Amino acid sequence: MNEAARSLLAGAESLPSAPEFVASVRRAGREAFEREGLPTTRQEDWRFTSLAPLAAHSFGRGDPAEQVTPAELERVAGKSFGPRLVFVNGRFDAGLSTAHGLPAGVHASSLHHAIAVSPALVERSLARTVAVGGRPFAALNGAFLGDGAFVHVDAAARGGPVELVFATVARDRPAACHPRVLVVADAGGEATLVETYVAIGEHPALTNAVTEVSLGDGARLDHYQVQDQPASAFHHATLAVLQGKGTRLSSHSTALGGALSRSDVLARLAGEGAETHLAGLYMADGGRLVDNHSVIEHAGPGGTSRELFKGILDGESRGVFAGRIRVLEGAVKTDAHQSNSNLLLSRDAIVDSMPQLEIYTDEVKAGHGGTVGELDADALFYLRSRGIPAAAARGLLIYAFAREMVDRVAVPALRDRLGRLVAGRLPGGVAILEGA
Amino acid sequence: MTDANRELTEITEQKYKYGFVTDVAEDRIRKGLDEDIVRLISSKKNEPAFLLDFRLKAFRHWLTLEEPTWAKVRYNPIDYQEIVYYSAPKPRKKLASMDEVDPELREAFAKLGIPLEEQKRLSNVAVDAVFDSVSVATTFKKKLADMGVIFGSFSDAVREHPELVERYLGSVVPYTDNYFATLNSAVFSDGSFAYIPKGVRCPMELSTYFRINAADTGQFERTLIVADEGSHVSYLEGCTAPQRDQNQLHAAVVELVALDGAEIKYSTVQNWYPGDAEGRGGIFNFVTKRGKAMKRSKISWTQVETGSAITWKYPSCILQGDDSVGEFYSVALANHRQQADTGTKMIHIGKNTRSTIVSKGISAGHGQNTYRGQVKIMKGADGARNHSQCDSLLIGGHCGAHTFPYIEARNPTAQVEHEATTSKISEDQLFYCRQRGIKEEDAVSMIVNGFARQVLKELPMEFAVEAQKLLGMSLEGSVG
Repeated sequence: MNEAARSLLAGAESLPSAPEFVASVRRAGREAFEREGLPTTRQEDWRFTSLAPLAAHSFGRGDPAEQVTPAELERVAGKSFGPRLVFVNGRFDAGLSTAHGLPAGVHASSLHHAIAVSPALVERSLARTVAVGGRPFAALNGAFLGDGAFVHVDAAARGGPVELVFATVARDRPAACHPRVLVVADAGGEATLVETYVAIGEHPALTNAVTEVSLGDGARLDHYQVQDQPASAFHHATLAVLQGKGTRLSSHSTALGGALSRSDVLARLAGEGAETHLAGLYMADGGRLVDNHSVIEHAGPGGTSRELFKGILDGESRGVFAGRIRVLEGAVKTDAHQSNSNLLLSRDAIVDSMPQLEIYTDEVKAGHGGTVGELDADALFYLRSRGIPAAAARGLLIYAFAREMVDRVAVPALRDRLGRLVAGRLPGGVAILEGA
Repeated sequence: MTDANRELTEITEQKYKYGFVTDVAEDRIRKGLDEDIVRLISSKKNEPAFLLDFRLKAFRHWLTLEEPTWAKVRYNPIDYQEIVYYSAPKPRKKLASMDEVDPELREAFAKLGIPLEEQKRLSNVAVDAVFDSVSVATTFKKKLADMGVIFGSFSDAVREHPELVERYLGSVVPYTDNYFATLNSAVFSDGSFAYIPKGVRCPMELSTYFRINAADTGQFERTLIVADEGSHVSYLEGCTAPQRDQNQLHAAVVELVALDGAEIKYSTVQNWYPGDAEGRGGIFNFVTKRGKAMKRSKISWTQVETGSAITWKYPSCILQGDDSVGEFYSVALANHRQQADTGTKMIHIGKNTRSTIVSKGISAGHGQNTYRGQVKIMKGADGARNHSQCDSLLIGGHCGAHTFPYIEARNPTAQVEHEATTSKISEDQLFYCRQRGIKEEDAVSMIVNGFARQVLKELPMEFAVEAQKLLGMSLEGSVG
């Protein structure tokens, strides 16, 4: 382990005591991270994503006692559009949260609270979907397991969005936070969950989140992740989903900020007839890097998966996409498709795209596609010939490329927020949205 | 047992018809690899100092390398000290003409379906046959020489045109390139060399047939083709090996240089012994093939890969010159326990460079077939274009088909498109054919050939027929 890795692990030994099943997750995580340390570009999964900028900082554990004002929060996370649970440096902040309006059958609380009141339920699902070996960030998250969110969706649950906001606060030194989200949906339950990741403070913040989802037979989850952090922040998110028979997962991620933002999605379609939809939009400029890795594993027969990621890269930024669809022997009648499109807006922007298929049975329909290109010169000319200034025309065309991803959001308030966040980063700004 | 299963079994038990061993006296050296062996190979061939230097540098570099493990193939470790690095049919006397070639050798080639005389007389193909490690006969040398085309064994080229060899050897695949290419650079024994002078359109297709005959030997041939400005050449390569229980290593290097405005078309039908149905024996085919394309030139790779226990092969194009073109057409078949990890690299450096990739993978039995390809658009490659199409056909529920493209774009004006599909033989198509009275096995053969057609049609006539037969032989009647 090098210096950077050691500083990341500092404090993991002195966490408040916890039940044995939590302590064992911490231990396994700590040992795995001590063994593997931070990955290097010599590892296939990190080939294009150098962690050198992250290793240049010495991150201490973010202070859970840190305070955030409601105004501060609203500035970075927007207004709430329903029940909202807020976590500051991983600690549940009841004062900033509004539990009012939680849909019937959806029980959301802090993980800390859930461990105390319903340990059996938590134990059954915690650390079951993600292996720590070969995933040093998930291991690191495990090593600091303490708080985060627990969402239990019972069989009768139908309904509205629940938002979880994670704020990493780094006011006077670089700070790291390792929030864990555990979602357990009973058979037939349905829920919509929004995770919003923000950072506050002048110093670099490292957010290393792990979201684990277990979907019982027939359960459905609409899941959204919005990462809107300052350009100095570092972000790593692991989403691990275990899907039972006839389940449906729709996961939508938007990565807008961060010096280095990486997402790992692992969806295992274990039951028959499971369905997975992954969608992602990523935007980067300056010298930033945004990386989306995903593995969709079809283990049960008759599964369907659809994956679409779109990237917009400007400045000297770098976009990385690696999506793997794995169809195991016996996962017959699988229908899988993935696609990755990238828009390069500058001469210095870089894209590395690796759509991958790994198929072990014959009764499948699987395909993928990938494209890289710049804005269509004819379309630009057309808009300019109609008197639209060059910058605004570019903005319009870029928004047109991104809009498909925004439109996929089924929660109207979130769709509006994302539309404004995306358009706000383009030449012409939110004015693009008028008449859109 | 259903019809389909029975037919599958029949195929599984189909014999490798090139599995004979030819009893020819060999000149072979002791097993193992060290600096003395490298020097011995060089001295046996009376090589000039620059070549011995090249070999020794490569060998010393090889000692610092580790065998790569990233490919999606599994095999028992290779003991590089158990291999004989040089084995040549013992010459009975200096050959003055074709007719003096060892009759047993000639018979071997006849069994392979490349009777030298026939080829010479009928098909107008110039053949350089590499038997184990040395080149035994080259047809049409005279006719080619009249046009200034140099075509023959690598050793002859070293003797007769050392300046060309020295200038271009390692210019596309440097001796430091990768584990197997470095090994080849140290111990390569022979291979083919072709030089097409400026503006010459080579009047016939050039061809090499490779065969590994002796046991425990590796074959490390090296091919170098230089097409000078504005010239054109089409080159064919075929490979077979006898049936043996041990694995044999084949680590070849092919370098192509297409100077301004030149065109090289390189076609391969690879049918090394694939091992038996349980995966015993077979050739490890670890090959580095790469071409460098200068301004307005074109390099086109076409390969039909049906043999070898393990294939590790990525014929690539460095599109260095502006407006240069790279193409890769591939059919790879993995049946029984065969594993193929093959694809291409298209490195776009020059402006307005274009590349096309068409890869068709067919997996059957317990075969594992991987397409691995890289399309890299460098910063200066304004207006570069790539289109890749990778399709996989699965036959049976125990095989695997994998697609791992790497798209690396560093220029916004580039347009890169990649598409891939994986499917099994459609029951609708089969039903349609059967309904019209076409036998199931003929229908499958039709469908497989249709699947591979886009690639097969790129092959020169002589090879297209052979390739079609090979595909048919392995897959006729196999229904998933």
